[in-house]
Amino acid sequence: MAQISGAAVMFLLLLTVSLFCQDTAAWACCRRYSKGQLPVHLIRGYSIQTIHAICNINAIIFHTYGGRKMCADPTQPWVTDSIQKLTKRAWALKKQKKEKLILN
Amino acid sequence: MMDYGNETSYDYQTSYENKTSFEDEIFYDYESPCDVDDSGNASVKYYLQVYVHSLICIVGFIGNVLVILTYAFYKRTKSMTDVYLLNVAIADVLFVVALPLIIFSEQSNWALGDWSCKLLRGVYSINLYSGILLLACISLDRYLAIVQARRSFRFRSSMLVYSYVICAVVWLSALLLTLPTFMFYERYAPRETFNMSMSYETVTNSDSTPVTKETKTLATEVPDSTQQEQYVCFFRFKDNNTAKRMKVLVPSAQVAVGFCFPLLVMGFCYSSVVFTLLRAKNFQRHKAVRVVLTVVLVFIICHLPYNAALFYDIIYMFSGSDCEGHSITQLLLILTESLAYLHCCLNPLLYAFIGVKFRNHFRKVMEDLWCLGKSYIGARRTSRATSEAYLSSRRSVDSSGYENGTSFTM
Repeated sequence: MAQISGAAVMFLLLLTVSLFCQDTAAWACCRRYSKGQLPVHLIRGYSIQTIHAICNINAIIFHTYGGRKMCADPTQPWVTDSIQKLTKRAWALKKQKKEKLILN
Repeated sequence: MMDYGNETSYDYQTSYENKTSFEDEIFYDYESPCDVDDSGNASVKYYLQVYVHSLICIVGFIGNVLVILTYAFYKRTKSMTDVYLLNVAIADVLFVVALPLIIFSEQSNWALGDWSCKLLRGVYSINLYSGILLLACISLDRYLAIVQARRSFRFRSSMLVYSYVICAVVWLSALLLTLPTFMFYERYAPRETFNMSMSYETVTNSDSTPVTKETKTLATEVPDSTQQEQYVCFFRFKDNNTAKRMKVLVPSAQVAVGFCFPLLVMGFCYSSVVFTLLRAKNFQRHKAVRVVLTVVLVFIICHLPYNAALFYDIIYMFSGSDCEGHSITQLLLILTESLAYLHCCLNPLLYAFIGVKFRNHFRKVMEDLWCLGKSYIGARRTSRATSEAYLSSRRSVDSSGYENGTSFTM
């Protein structure tokens, strides 16, 4: 019986330790795609959600200036268009920076 | 960040600048990401882990260790049922040892690393499968002993060898079903899986021309990035097809092999047993029928809700429900899972301690342990030989009472 109560004590010890390490994690996954479209000038950026890890569908998450996130279907043409436009914007930005560096 | 999933949130934003209100109109039918672990579910899970799972683990550990000790000291595994009962107890003990370690790792961010994630999840899965499959084997054994009594009587002595083979097959198939878990479970930070986060910000220059500026918005996107990085132990795949297939296959296998198949076997075997018992003219038959019904009923009560929730979750995995529906499904999974865990501390009562013979052996073990403890203390004063003499005499009495048969005595 001694070894059993020893194990029980070990377990309680583990639990009390874990009591102090409590924290809640919050990751967000898209579960469905939005039906509407989002004008590209409202989009600040995007992130890619893949099925490879914790989420169950592939999706593009558009981040807007209003601080919202919108789930979009990556197979929709307007979504790929928006991403291309955003990429162009990024290139233009890099060019701008380079020119500034050269001028200075 | 907190209000993006809230559809009523656009009311108070009407005072914002034009752009935002235009955004609100667009967002009338938009979908935003759902929290994986919303705070309500997380706290329910936390309290269940601390108060319910700990109790299940302690009771399950004590009960199953007592079964193993009884077999180890006195009741040599002399029938098929004994071999199965011992294996069920071993599987259950490993399960209740792995469970608190998983809970602890989960809450300490899987600090032990990738191998602990794979190993603990693997051990958990192996014992889940083997425990349930062995219960199906026990039902098959009882079917052979009672319904096919005449036919199986000749083979009963050689059955012991078969039971070892069957146990080996059960453990191997449990290992085989766990292989995907070993292969694809990893410890990682979920944030890094949302890759290529590109963000831009338009700011107005001094000459009022809008300029797009690249900003590192990760800090604003994830408000708790100042805290310690969160890690999970979950599936991670390299390509779409494997991901899709495995995310359906692994829980489906759990429902099919870990519930439906054993339920079918138990349903067939025990209903045949009950019919045979009801036809027999034995004064103890009603008690036997009651025991069989309890065994089946407890199995269904413990495992049906969880497997139903799991099945529902598989069906709506890819064609998603809304965030609220998803949250409810997750809550149901958490609650019913605890019920399924409860089964491993009921097994010793339902299968081992319900048998009269097993109870007698257990009583002997307890008495001897008690005497051993007493004599251990006394040994410092008196000689040790008395206790050993006592023990050996006990054993000889026990072995003289051996008989050949199954322990299906109730």
